[in-house]
Amino acid sequence: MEISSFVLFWAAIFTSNILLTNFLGMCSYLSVSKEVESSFGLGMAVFFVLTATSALNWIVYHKILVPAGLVYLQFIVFIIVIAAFVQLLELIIERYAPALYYTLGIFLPLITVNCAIFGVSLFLVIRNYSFGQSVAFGAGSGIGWLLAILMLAGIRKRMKEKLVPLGLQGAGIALIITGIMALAFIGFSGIVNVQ
Amino acid sequence: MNEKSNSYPVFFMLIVTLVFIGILAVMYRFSEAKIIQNERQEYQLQLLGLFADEIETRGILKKDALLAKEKLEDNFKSYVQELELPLADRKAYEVRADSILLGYCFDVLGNGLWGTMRALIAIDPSGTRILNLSIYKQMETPGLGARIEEPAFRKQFSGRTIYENDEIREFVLIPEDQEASRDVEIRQITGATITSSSVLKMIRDELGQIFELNIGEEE
Amino acid sequence: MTKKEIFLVSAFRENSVWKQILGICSSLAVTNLLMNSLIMGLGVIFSVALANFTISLIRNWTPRSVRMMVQTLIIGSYVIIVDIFLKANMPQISKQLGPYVGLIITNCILMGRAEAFAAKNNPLDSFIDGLGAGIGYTLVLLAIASVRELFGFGTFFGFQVLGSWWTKWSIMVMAPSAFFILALFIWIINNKYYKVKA
Repeated sequence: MEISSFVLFWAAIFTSNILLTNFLGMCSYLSVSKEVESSFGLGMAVFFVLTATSALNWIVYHKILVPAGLVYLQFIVFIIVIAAFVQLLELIIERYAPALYYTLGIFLPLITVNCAIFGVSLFLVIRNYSFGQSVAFGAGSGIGWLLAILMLAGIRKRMKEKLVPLGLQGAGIALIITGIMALAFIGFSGIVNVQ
Repeated sequence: MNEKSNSYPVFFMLIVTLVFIGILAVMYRFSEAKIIQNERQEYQLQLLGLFADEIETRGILKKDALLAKEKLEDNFKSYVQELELPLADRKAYEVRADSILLGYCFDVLGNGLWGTMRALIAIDPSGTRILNLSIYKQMETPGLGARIEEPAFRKQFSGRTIYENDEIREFVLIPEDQEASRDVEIRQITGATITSSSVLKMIRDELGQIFELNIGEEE
Repeated sequence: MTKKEIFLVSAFRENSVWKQILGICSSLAVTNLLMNSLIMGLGVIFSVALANFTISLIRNWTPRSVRMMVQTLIIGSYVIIVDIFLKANMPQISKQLGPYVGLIITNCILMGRAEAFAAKNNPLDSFIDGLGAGIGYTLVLLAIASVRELFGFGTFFGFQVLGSWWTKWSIMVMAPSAFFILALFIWIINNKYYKVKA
């Protein structure tokens, strides 16, 4: 009787969006969202890395750290796994898909320090998710993050010609927009029912 | 890259890693026992806490004396006895004081919004009334769903009857700022409807499962 | 710069949150209660000050190619120390903060101060800089948390301040309010202390 992966996937996108309710990944969210195109690139990179590292860190945690009794080192190990994976991905993409590298590659270094990726890895061990649940939760969180940054970028594009109080320009107004988005997302809370 | 040997960075990294892992390992070894002890104590405290009022009103032992940190282990041993139940992952206890049965306590689990919750439900000796509830482990959002741990929410279940027309009764959620007017109403936690209803569902499902075993009537 | 200046600059003038919008990710989620924010802040102060100190101490021997790895490792170790300490001595709070303690590692402030200050300055100055950055950060968290807790629960550090007549604003407990309050906060600070050019 465990929470189904399907429910977790949707919950991670809508009812508890990793960015809008857990505030994870804010730094790159605020700085990159000035343009729609780069937002999409970064969002895709986050989605991909999140899904993969959720799976990897689940394996590392349950197959290596727990049997070896090294659970207390999880923070360091997770961040190293993430950094190593991102590095590897960068190499592979550069080698085999140069076109993709130009659109996605520049965002990869930003990802290691994206709290959303690390946060999801921590959530899934703390909540004791199974492998399937972890991957679903990781993928859902990634899509949720992509959705949030795309929406903000779209709104900010339209805001460009609008007059904003001086003290609020830049990060201030972006935070307010995000707040309104977060409010709107509360409306989704009914769509998921935990069984 | 530079005139220094290529192996220096690797060597340096290795040394730093070893030093820090060493420090952490030592620190963890020293705290490990305390962490496990903490968890155990917390559990005993929660369980005895559910019966503390009962034990005090019967004049057996004052609350402070019962839940004093140094006495916890002994008190737990003398009042609480584990029962054998054919339920995987769920423990059951019988709480007695001076051979008087005070009630039963079930360690149950259910799904919250984010992960498994675990709770202790105290039931009166006749098996018809919830004495107390404590949610001792949950993964809900801090400040929102996590507030199911707070007395304001969980104390609402104290004294509620379990059965209604021979069925396990279904509790109903009402807004937090309203007063419960009927016995089945539970004030929910604002902003955490899913978590609140998960608690109700857990209680209903788990009690249903337990009472199919008919231990309440055995006495 | 004197030690006092280093502290003041890092805590206020160059405060990471309102000047650079860094580091909010890891702890905005716990700002609906003052106690959680305070503990989180103390964790950050401890980790950033000591990580800065350590990174600065070994800066002359650290090869450039593995600098980032070494910094991550050192920061991670201090955060684990905070985590173990909380688990052993404050189990209640550790439980409430859940994964957020671990998230201090990805708090951009720690990496930022390590790169911007500790890698170039002596250990004592770095320690003070870290202390300043951590305290400045904690003050912002507490400011946000005091508004959210007061309006959302009617309490202040858990003590009932507003009576039962107060209708709790549930929005304050929920996520969106943190965005709004932080934005207002940045607005006020910008208008008051940094005269924005028209």
